[in-house]
Amino acid sequence: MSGAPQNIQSIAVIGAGIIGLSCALELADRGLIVTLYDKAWPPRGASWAAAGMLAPAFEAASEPGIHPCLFELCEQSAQMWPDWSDALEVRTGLSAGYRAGPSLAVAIDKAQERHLSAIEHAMCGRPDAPRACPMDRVRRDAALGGSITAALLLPSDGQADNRRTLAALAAAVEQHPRIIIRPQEAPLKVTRNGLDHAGHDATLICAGWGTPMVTAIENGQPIRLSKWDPVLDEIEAYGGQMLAVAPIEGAPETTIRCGDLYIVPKEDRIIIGATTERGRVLEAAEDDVIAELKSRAAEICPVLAGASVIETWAGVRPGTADHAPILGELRLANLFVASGHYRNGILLAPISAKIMADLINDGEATELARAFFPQSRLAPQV
Amino acid sequence: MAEIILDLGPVNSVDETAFAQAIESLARWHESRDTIAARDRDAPDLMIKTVSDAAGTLRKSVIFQKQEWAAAFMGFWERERAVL
Repeated sequence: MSGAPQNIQSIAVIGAGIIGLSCALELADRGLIVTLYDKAWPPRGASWAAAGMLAPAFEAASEPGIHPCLFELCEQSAQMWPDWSDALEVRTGLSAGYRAGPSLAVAIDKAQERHLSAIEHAMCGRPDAPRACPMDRVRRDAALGGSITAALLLPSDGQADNRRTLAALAAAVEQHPRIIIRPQEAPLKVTRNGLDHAGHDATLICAGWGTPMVTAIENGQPIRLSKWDPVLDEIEAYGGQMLAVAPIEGAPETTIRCGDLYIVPKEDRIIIGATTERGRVLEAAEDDVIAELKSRAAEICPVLAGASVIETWAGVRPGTADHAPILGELRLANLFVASGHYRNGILLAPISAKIMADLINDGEATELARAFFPQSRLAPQV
Repeated sequence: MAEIILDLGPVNSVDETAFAQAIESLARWHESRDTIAARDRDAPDLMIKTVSDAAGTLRKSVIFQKQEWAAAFMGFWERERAVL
């Protein structure tokens, strides 16, 4: 691996999910010529399938086994979101779908109560510290059921309508004079002199769960790039299933979190999700899983039992063992990666774009950014 | 090399689902061709851009490097629009 990148003026970005789009836009804004490669255009994938949670507290303040700096990364990105989405709206005239917190985290068993206590403890004394909610208010104001045993208001945790965000990003990218969109695989080739970045100075892989499968042609054969840097194989597929129901009177107006279940009100629908199925590449939702999700949601919020299902779908998230993304340069010169964002892809888009642009354009990285560099992320060998 | 620019019209009038389907159909068509050209595994060379016209209206365009790719895309695009 080389040191600070030298004089990169053009770059191939592989993957047009929210991370690839955000990085392409930031790099082009800083003057680079960008070619964005994705076989699907307009963009779909995990970014489209997500529920748009912007939840540093619930996802990262007190989750066992996660990267020690993930909460700080999530928190900084959450703070970037309002200005980032404003800028996106100004340049496209489209809504970026941002909605500030709070969210309401609730518990229906002792384990979930302990999780809420741990979040409260971890964020104690901060200006955006969670606040315990009286149960009578929760039941009255949030239309929640009698099975709730504890509730915590999370001011830091908002949400975005991710489909709107994605559409606004795609429009910004299409309009950018320094970005070319090519709906095809990037034609990377391995030569005697190293990697040919499809005619560019560098490559940035943002291919989500497909990141380990990105190939370059060597001696006429497609070879996975993980042959040269096995850290790419640390990114695994995590399938997720969810549904949307029509808005119904009495449904909560605030995002509700309960264990792995969320209820997320949008302008025109209420999203209920989601499963997290390691190693599963799902193409469609399964009826029994969807029925169970809806039933669990109705246990928390009884009015949802009568809501009609308007859409079901499945997506595949890219995840790592510690739920943190891999951000930085790989062992091949001028080959970069920004992937493995797990359930935080929407939240981490602004800071991922900034970290990658700082590194690629200026050769700079903060101490926080270095904590997510590829060379520090290989799983310990047993 | 001359570029072939297909103007699909104002952004707001372009159906994104039909557009995505036309792009996918073009890729499948290219992969299925059993010709010498098809053995060159490079996908059709096309770019997607949105540009402002003289009146300030954003228009969506697709830019090709080969006439045959432009013609093929137009065929798929027209078919998708007819389906709607």
